[in-house]
Amino acid sequence: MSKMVTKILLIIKSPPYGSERAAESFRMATAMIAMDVLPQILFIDDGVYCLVRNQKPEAAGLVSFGERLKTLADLVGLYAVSDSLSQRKLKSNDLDEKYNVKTISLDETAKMISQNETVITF
Amino acid sequence: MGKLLIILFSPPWQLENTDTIYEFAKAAIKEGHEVTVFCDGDATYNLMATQIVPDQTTPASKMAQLIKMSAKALVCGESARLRGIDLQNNLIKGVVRSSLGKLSELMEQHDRIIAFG
Repeated sequence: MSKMVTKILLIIKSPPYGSERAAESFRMATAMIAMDVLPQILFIDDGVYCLVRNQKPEAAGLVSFGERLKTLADLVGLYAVSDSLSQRKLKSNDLDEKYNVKTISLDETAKMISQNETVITF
Repeated sequence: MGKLLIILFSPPWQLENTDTIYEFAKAAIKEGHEVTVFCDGDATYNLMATQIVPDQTTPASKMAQLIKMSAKALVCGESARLRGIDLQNNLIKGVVRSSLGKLSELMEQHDRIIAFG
């Protein structure tokens, strides 16, 4: 039998393009939600570029993950580390509003990590 | 004794993650723990039986040794399919087809989860 629902944090530190890591994290999050396991999703370092508005990957022949990310945002919410945004000179209004991203400090990030039983980084 | 779930994302021959999990899993099994290794994404290549390096242990042979030692080796079927890996004929013996949905269930059933990517 299953134990109580495990608290899982998915940390995305990979940029949206150049590797499949970020896309893989979204695939995993979708599968988890389908199995009633609701992860927290946090973007840090270059992972915050996943959240920038007006991305057009189709122009380069790439598959867009925008709709999947929007679904994840609606179902479990998305967090981004404010330091990672400021280091890249990104402001809240540079992020796609449809994701409704909550920005958190490094202290809050540390707390979020400690409150989860499992952390998987991508 | 505990139940350990190792999730591997990285391919063979690029990083040392497969070597690390081999030693890690071996040590855990010797301590009496139950070990499951889930290969996702490019990590599915670690399980390909056709790896051949003369006079050298391959990542696949290390995975095969872990299976012999009682570890469960699972592969994400969708990741394998995307990479053109034939689950029936290309993989080492003892690998069980799984999915990310099943991985979510496994996360509930294991005491400790560690990911290498």
